[in-house]
Amino acid sequence: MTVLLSLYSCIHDEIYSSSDPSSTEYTNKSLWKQDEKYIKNVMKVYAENEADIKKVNGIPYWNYATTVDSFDESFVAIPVVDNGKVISVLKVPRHGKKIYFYYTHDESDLLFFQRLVFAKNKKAGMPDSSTAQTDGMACTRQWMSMWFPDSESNPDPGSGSGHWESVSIIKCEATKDECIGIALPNGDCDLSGGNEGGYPYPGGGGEGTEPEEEPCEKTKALVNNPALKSKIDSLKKFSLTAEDDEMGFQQDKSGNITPAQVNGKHYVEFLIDQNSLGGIHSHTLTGTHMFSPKDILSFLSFARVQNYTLPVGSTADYTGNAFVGMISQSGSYFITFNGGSGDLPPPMTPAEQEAFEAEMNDTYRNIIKDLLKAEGKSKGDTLSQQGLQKLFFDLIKKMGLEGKINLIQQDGSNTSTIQQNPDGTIKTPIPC
Amino acid sequence: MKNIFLLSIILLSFSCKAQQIYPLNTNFLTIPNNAYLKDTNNELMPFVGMWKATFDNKEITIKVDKVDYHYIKSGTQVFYRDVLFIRYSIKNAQGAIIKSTMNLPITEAKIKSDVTFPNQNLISFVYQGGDCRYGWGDVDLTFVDATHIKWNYQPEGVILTNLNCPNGADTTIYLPKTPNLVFTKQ
Repeated sequence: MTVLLSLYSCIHDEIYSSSDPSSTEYTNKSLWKQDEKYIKNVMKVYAENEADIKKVNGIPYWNYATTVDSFDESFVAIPVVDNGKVISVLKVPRHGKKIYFYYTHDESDLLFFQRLVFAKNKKAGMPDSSTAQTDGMACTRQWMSMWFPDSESNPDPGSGSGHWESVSIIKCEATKDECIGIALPNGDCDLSGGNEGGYPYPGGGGEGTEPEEEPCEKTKALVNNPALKSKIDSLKKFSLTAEDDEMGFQQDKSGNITPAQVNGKHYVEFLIDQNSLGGIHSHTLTGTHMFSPKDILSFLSFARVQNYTLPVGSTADYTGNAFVGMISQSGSYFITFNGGSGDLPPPMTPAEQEAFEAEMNDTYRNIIKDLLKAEGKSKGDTLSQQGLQKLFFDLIKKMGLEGKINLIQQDGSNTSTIQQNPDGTIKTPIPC
Repeated sequence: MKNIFLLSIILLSFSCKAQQIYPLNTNFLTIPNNAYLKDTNNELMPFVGMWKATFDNKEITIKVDKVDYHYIKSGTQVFYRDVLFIRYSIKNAQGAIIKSTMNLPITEAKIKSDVTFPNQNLISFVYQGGDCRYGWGDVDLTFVDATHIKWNYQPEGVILTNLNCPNGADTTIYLPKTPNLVFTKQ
């Protein structure tokens, strides 16, 4: 009896010590080699932000976490245990410089970890990790097997009879993983609470990640590309005419440039697919020479497709590559996204977008008119460049995108970042 | 019982905070939530009524209605404003109606006033546009005299995508686009 109690005590202590969420100690007790650097960094972020991240009862068993055969600081799944049972799995992917925490209740994941943590006779296997394609996404699967003896009197797989039963966990590269909160049964994500924008990853961009180019430098390189520059120049000339038509061009990720569709006055139409990078368009002489609400929403559509063509296993985040340019008589501007795909607002239903556009159009025009008055001007006059820039910042704040969109001014051969002071005034342009 | 009644009155007096009212011309970004931009100078009423003009062989009729205390949402901000709505009807040279919003409920008309420019006797409106926002922009009405107003319509450009504008949308802009089109009161 004493021996049994001692044994129970040993087991209990072992589990307890492996599950202390505040512990900075990590010992790999899984059946596979793990990306220990990533696990330790994620543990650190979790410990610092547990109050925000924690969505379910239970304790993360870090020592049983698995990075599912990835070693590029990109992913980890951690079992969450309550009362001796794995009740949830915390998954933490990295996108660029941020990591995102979300919980899943997938039955196969729960079973996998239940056996990994608590089974006595287990082995890595079936027999190796394998790759699989699921719903067109690249996935990595990791298998383990648990021994089921025919008789409890001889549970040893070495000498008794029984069979091995395999379970697996699967990791998929998908933008759908940009979710924190609780993954609902239908695959949607309950985003209530927490830091929806992710948490900065202590390891920075991770090994093997290219340093991120500054938005201004990136735009400068873009507009100085001869192929795009010639189109910008032609739009500039067109913007000086009294035409009611607009003009535009769009660029794909391979650098190919094609004209935007124009079948009527006062609009251009971009065809966005997974290969789209961005677009430029003119505003008419008498229109407002700044991005409109729908221009910005269309830009977000470009931003959303930037990661669609990432190679299998890549943890890069190219959301910041998307761009939209507005070329007008009084000034030309480009916008790029400041953040990763996890920072993008969730897509809206058509009805939601319709209502949001109407609200933001009203807001945009109202701001313009109030700014005209602030500049001592009449209706029919045009805003100063600083007024137009303030209009942009006031609008994106109303759209819930404050700090998420970079405004870059292109003036001849000069490219500058435009920023706002905390008091709402516009800083002197910062050239690059 | 009497004490409970008195306590209720006191609590109610605390919870009933007086709404803040501002002149129509106040910058909406500077007002508190739930404030009311009221037409204290009676700037809107002279525009109310039925008005008619002809342009490009078309007869254009507009009906201007005033709605007090209209609910407005702008991001996280909510406020109320006295506004005008414009409904319109356009007939071709043969007298056939080619576009009309006259049968819409007033507040569903897509042309709504926002800012006034009293020094110019001008009321500015926002037009939400047709399909996919084609032709969205400003409409300005300028008061000339009791029976005449001037119309200026300035459409804005817009980027559309295959994702946010389906095929088959009507790209015709129906509103008259000519400077200072004079309408006569009916």
